[in-house]
Amino acid sequence: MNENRQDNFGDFFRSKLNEDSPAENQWNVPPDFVFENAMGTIQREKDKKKRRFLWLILPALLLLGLIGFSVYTIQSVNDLHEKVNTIEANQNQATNAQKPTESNILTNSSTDNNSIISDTYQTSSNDKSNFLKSEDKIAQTPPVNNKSFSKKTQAPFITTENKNAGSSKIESFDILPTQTNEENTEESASALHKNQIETPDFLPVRFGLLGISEKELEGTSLSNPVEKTASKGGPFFITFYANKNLATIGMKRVPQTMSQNLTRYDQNYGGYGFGTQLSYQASKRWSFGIQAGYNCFHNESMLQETMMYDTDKEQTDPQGLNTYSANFNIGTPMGDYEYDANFRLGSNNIPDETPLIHKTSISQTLHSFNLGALARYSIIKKSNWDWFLGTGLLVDKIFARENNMNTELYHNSSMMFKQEMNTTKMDNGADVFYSLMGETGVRYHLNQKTALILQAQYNTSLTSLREAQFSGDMGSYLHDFNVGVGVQLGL
Amino acid sequence: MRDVTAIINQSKKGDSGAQRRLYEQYRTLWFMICQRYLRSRDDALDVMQNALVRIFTKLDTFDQELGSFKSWSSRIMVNECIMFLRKRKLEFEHLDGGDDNLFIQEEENPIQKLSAEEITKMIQKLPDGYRLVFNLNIIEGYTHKEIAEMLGISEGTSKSQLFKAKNLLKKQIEVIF
Repeated sequence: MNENRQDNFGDFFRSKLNEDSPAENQWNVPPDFVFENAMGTIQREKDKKKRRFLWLILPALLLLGLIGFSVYTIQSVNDLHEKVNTIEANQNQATNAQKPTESNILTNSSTDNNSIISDTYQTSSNDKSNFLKSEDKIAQTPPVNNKSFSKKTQAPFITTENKNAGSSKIESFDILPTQTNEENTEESASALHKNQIETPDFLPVRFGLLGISEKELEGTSLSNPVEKTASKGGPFFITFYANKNLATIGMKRVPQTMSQNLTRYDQNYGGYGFGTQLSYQASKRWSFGIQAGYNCFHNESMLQETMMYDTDKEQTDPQGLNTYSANFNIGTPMGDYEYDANFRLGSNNIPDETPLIHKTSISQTLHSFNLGALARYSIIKKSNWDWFLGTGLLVDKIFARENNMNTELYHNSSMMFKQEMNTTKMDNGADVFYSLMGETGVRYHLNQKTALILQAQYNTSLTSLREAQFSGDMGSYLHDFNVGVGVQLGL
Repeated sequence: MRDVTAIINQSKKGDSGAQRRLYEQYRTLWFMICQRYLRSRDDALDVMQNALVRIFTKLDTFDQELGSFKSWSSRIMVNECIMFLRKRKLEFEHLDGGDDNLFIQEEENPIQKLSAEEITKMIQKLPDGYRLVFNLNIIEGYTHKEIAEMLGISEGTSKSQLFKAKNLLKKQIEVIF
């Protein structure tokens, strides 16, 4: 009877509220802007997907272009190298055939050879000193005195006595002066080392690979040291060395890391970074560089709650079961911990009640360009190895930011609901953040053309990548540490 | 029915005109659902807007052979409403019990004259927990077991929430008549 009455009650409401085509009145017709706004949101999401695709493609194209350019340059350099070898062979022949005189070693060399040398010299005229070093083998011919330059001067390899005649009419060559041990033993060793290691410096391109094992030390708030992280996922790092000064172009993938406490997970899915670094050797030990790059990071915080609505306080439910709960909240300097204990008293059938797991994840994807400056100093510079330290400051300008809130409800390990709320805000969180970089490395020269590099880098963001916007937000910082072994090839 | 199917198919292809027609066809139903679950009209508009985004972005996953568009879209609206309430720290209030004698006397049914708007306003006045369980059970037709699983509460709690919701509705009806 009671059921029938209740059904009757329900039927009444159902019939009134659940019509297939309810009549439109002012109260139940939503304003048009609801539809317009929804369509606008959908369109923005589509545009964002397109932009995301482009931002992934562009750096890849840039990288491919640079690789292609490098290969092309290497080919040209190989051609030059062959020419130089030909010249050397011809010179050796000439030297053997005719004893050198003090005034003119190559006067009797063939005109063709001189032309080739001249062409070569002109091609690499931007790096005269490098060319000079590359031709040191020529200087192994008996040295002659030369009054025109001192030992400190990096004299041009080729001089023309008749300056008006132009490079096509080379009449004589000056040979490098001999350096005595008394004058500069260290310089001699250095010069010898240069002959051994840096001889092909007029070859403008060197590049190699750097394999990196990367780990995020602490991916969360610096002010909350309780949060520990562990590296997950495979790190990936590749660097192309662009010249002898360790100018690089590189790409790295920051791996996923995670920290957690009782109810919260903070996952850093890392991201990708593309960057290029130009270095300038200012002195024997100091080099300075500028860096430009693009970064894409994805951070995610997850707040997991176990909800038991009917056990928040002592109560009597319709089955007559008494439920009690205790709540402990412990505050420590390192953070607050909350622990809920629930228990029941009663002998009746206990309803099958499994806690509901409520997960809210807040994620953010950042796209930023960065510019930076760095300095490197060789603490030790020996003939076949050197140890360098470096530091730099990067400024990242965020140009796109995507925030997502995703809520999921699980019950008995099965997902009941999944809700996504996507919001796009360009103006929240830090707009610019700063990162400090420190590095050290050892470079060991295996031979004239190959060096091994052991390099370690540490980057830390000085500004949170994401400012707190929600209660579950952890305010993530990014720290990445990488160590890798690279091979630097002189080609 | 054929018209709706055609409109849905066109909407899936991104035809904005068809999407608007689909919206105009169901906007009243959808908005009534949102208003039934949420006390404030502004909240109902916000939730409906989010649900629209979801409906139109997930429209390509809708399969007419598995169910009607009305029930599919209504379910999304209901889910949006539930999630909105959860984010606002939904609480199931426990008020004193009341009279169990709740039914509509068909022979003397002045409340039959109540309009849908008036009934919706009555429901909106219920506390969040009562309103949620009442809507899920009475209007959507979920059993207490399903509601309990859905919300992570016991069946008893679901029943008591419904019971108290009905009591409050009855009191409101008594005030009117």
